[in-house]
Amino acid sequence: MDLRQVRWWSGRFAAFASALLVALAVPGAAQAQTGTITGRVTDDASQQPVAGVQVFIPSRSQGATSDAQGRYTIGAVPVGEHTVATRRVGYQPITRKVTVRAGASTTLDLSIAIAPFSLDQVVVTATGESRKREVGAAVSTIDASDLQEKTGSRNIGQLLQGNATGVTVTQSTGSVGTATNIRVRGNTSINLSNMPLVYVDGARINTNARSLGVGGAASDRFLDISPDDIENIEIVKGPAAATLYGTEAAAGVVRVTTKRGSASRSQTTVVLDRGQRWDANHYPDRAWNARVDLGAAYKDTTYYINNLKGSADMENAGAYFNPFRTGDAYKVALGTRGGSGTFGYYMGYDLSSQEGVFVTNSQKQHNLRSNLNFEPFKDTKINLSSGFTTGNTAFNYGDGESWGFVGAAILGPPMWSPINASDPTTGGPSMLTCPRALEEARKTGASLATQTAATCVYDRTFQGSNNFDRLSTMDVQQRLERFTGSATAIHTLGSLLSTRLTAGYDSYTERGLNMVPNVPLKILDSDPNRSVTDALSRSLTLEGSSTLTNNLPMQFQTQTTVGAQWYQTQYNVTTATSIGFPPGTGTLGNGAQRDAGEEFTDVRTVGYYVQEQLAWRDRVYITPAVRFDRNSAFGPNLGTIAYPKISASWVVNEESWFPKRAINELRLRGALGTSGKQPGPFDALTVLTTTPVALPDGSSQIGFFPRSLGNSDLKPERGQELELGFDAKVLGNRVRLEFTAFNKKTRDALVLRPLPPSTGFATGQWANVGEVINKGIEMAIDADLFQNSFMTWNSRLNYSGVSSKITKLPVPIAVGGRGLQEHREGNEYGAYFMKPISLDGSGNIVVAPTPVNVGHPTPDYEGSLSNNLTFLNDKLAFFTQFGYSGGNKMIDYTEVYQCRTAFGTCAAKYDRDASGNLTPLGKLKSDPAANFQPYMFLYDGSYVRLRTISLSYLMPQRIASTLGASSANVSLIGTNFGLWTDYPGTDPEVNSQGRQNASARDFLSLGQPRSLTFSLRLAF
Amino acid sequence: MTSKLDSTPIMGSLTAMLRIFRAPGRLAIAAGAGLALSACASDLHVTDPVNLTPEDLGASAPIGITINGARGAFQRAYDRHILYTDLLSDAFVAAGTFPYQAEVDDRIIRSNNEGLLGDMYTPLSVARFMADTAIAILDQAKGGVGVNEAARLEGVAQSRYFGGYTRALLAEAYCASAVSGGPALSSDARMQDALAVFQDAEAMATTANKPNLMAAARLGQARAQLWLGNYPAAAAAAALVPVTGFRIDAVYSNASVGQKNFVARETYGIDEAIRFSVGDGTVAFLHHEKFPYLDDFIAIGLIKRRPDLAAFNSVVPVVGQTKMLTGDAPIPMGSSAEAALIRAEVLVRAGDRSGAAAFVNALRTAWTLPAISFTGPLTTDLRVLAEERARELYLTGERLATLRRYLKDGVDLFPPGTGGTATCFPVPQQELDTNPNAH
Repeated sequence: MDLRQVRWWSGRFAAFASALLVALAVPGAAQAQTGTITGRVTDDASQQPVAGVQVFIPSRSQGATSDAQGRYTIGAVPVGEHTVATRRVGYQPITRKVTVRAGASTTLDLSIAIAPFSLDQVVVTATGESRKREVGAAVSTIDASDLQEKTGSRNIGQLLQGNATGVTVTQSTGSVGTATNIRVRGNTSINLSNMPLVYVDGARINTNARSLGVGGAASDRFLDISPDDIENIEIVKGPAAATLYGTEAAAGVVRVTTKRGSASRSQTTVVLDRGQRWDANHYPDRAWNARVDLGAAYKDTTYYINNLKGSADMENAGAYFNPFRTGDAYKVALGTRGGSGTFGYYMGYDLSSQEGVFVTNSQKQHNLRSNLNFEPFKDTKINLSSGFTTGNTAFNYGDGESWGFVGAAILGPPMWSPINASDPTTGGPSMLTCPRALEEARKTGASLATQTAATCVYDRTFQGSNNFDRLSTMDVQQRLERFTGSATAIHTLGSLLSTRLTAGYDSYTERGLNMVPNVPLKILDSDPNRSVTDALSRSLTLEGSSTLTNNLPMQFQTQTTVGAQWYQTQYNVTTATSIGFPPGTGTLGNGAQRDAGEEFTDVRTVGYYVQEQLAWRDRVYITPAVRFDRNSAFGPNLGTIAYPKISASWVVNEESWFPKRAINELRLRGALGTSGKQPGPFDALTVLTTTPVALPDGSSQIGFFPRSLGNSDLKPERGQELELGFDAKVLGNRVRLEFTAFNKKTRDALVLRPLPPSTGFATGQWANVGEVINKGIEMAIDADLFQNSFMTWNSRLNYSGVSSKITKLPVPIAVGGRGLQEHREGNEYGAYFMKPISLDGSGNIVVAPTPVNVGHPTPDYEGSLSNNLTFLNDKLAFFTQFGYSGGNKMIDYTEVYQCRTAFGTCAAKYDRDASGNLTPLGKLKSDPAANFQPYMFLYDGSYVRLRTISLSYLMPQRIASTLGASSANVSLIGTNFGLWTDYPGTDPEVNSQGRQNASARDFLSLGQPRSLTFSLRLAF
Repeated sequence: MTSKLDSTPIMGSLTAMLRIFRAPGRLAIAAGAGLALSACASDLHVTDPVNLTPEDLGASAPIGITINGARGAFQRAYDRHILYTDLLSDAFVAAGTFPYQAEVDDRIIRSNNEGLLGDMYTPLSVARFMADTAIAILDQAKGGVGVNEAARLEGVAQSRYFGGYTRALLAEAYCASAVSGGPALSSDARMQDALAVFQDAEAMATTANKPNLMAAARLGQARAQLWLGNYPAAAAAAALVPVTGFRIDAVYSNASVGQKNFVARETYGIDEAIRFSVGDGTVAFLHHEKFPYLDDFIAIGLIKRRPDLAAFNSVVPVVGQTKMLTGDAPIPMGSSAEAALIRAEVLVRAGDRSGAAAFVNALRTAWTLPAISFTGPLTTDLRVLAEERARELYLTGERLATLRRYLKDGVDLFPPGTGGTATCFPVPQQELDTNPNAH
């Protein structure tokens, strides 16, 4: 950061800090005679205590949070009558009158009912907190603290998965720490990222996923947020709801709220998790190379990978280095919250350690959180939020690539082969593998040449991949230090004016280390090398808004909000690489060849908005709003962009004429709005780059090259969305329904329009020339199926259906770079364009003359089914969650790769019928004349997966007491214990392309592992 | 106001301090926020120190980096061009795993030119663009303050030579090719284009008084005339090239990966897997023909069996070239030998077989090979010449051009393959999709 930037940042902070300080300079209140309100909050149905309930006096901004026993105490309450209210995500809020006497403690026990669809539930919007009934667009809320107890999620991605309609979460691989792909209501952009924006306590954070340079795996900064610190997650799904978030919000917004404290007795929670994960996937059996006769002794290509995981029937099994393991995982999480008077705090710390199923994959992370909230003056609240994360993740080398563990095993025997050996059975070279010799050499450093052939076995190996021993020496790590903090000041002037100022700062340093050591196991594709990459990210969010409430005659009320936001993110990456150093060394300075590079990104947005909410009788709401944005990435010919919206909500059941017996509650809602997505920071500019050039005199000097052709007319793409829906309760409030239909159109979609290569600009030119339409429905049914004193059964079904189509695109754009998928006008997003191939009646191969649309990678529908059964007054709970997805096609690129290359094979075991004869598809796969057609390897990607199964038990009080705790809960949580699919590859729910848009490719991917975790949760 | 908060010393002090600001009051909240935010609008301009814009270069772009840009782009394209054109001919077989390489080797090339677009067509187009851009920039620099006129003239001559050479390579390898979004010209038309640029290059090299560049430009003209069948003109141009001692190289460096000779990297596993091998015909499946001069070239040490090395796909035995063993090995773009071979071919075609043999045998002497004679008929003589050219011009990208030229004479030296019959690379689909003039 240069001096100018330092000045800028410090200046911006100073200005904003001044504003915050001034905001605090407001009159205080005089102290009066007081008393105390105390009591216990219980669940209306089970009569069990409910923790984390905010119990407060709205007129005084005074309150407390219930502890694990449901107890709360509000001190220093002025004498007289007060209205006490409750608020907790997932529960219906209630209010009660209570009279406080001087110096006395008044007991007020409260019974609250679960109401996941409550219209009075509070959601956080761009303008502040609102009741759900006021919001015209669907906002999904996840009670993270409750869900975390049931699922033991290891990261926020797992918390989101299946728990919010319209939200698709895809893991790139089954390895620990690798990227998660989040999509909200389909794919919004063609070439830009479709990740939603993420805010943590008002601070927008960088969720970058950076490739590790060793295959498809990427790290993911979205996953840094500790799930144990999260109170709830809200998903703002599309432009209609996200308008006031402005440019970049077209793909939705995820708002994370971390835990807070309030005036109550300190309560401490300790969570101890211990678990294991293992690879339960069966890698599909395929024949070995059909074109190279290896004799009868050849092995299936997956012989090694499947047998190394435990079967004893593999010859010389002990001679192989086995990279598989049962990975340990543990977590220690401490959280304490409480407060007194108007001061509250939450302090959290957790240490999480996970081992992947391969020996080189692990992650250890420390999270520290400190949240303070206080009211220095009667009408001013301050929320301070700060989280610090430090951790180290060790990745597998080459996940999702041929030179990784899976590739080494599937493509051939995963062992080192001395290629100058001669195989007496075939007479050819390159057929000998010597695992024992390798082991000895690895341990002793002895020359491989001294090892005898007696330790060798004969089989083929794939030289293009690594061997397991070699892979186990690779060192790919990423070290992280991250701070995310925010300060929010909320000043209220009675019920008339509310002003909110937020400053958020997110900063991280991510150091990537990639080391291929110089050991006597050299692979073909890589000389000893080391690279160090430092990525520095800084994001600053400054927001301010004021809301003026005005009560009008005839029960009309208006709320006028004006606000502004500044957002800036800087992302700088420095890379240094050293290649070719001698054994025993491995620093950047030892290499024979050294390279270095830097890259910079700086994006700035300033936005202003105004919103007018008109309410009538607190049941009809109409809310128009508009936001104006300017952005550093807009082309020079573009000034300010306006994003308008309007929404409406009508709580119909509160009308006197409404037949409440049939439908207990009904709200109709609708929203129409726009949002944007900005171009890249320098996409508007024509850019040249410099590179060293070798000259005839032996020197290297700088020359310049064209890099990209700018477009001075660039503007953000505009997402426009109309959504209509309803929330309802029927059958005595026992069944809750949510339904939303949406139509989201992205106009002026930014497309990296290919240029004629003959122009010399290889990267294309960004232009606003595309259009994407996502249409779909979302539905959630939440039902109390059974309820008595012994047992309760709650079931929830989430369903989302979406169709993503490219409706305008002048030039087809290839997806993924391998000629399999295209964005093409009039077709589904990223559709597979292939030449269908078949056998005619005479058994001749018939290949269609031109590629046609044969399917698409985005699921047509997906969702989850959760069941929660409780027994013995909620003491015993049994939870299951199934996830499902379908309507999409998945390319098994592992098969394509094997088949299309010289060492490949085609017909798999599953391409034979019960008699062992090849199916028509098997015949096609077996015929060399057909083997270039990827159509043969495109499969239905539908699946049903048992994501989570858990059993938890609230231990008797006396046992908890012996542990010194007020309550003790034990859980056994299993993940991924079932998969039902017709997809013949390893796992239909992986994507070796990481976050790449439209890609659903299984290429040498590690499938999702299975895990089992024992969890002990103590409250003090 | 008194609260529990105030009871702690720190918060109490903070509260007291804040009270000082009571007077400005609530109105200052909006003022402060507005101040903080309104200033932002003027801060929306960002810069990226990594990249250059044309405005950064200005009208007086440094001559050095302009000329270097043209050279660097050409060198980066040339080594890749050699690998892939030799794959479509018989000089290499695919030993890697990328499907498009196997398809080129099998003489099946998909219209979208998958993989080849980025590896071959685009780099060559960038090289052409950079050569033409350098000329334009250097023309603008004429008469500028502080401009070294001699260096500028040499730069123009050199850039024109690179411009002509890239056009010649496009003509020799592609069935049709476009330049700057223009029409897709046939090989012959593109070679006419190349010829004109070579003639400009010669004129400028003469002005700049750079004999080596003059010889290179003349050799380029001879090459173009040979392709076009203007044999006397080819011989005349080639005759102006020094009989011995002339050579012009594309140069490479070990200073960074990007500057290394890609032919050496891909055939010897330098930072890369071995994905190109000389075919020995021992693996009996797709696209694995035997290089017809395998034994002859092994005998003179131009290629060598390397059982100690394994190709990326582990199946194809490595037979490596020995002409470029390191990342900084240069690749000849032109030489006295090439001029001699052009003159020999023109003589053969004219029926002067002894004259032709004199040129060829002079070259063979350097390899300690016995003298030969041309016996006719022409098709037989051309087959002999094909091997002479293959040896002398090994790994300079000449093989595909020679095979295409001789095919017009009824001499089919293309490997049989198993599926395709491609003899040239198609116009990439992306060019057809985006360039309306290319159809």
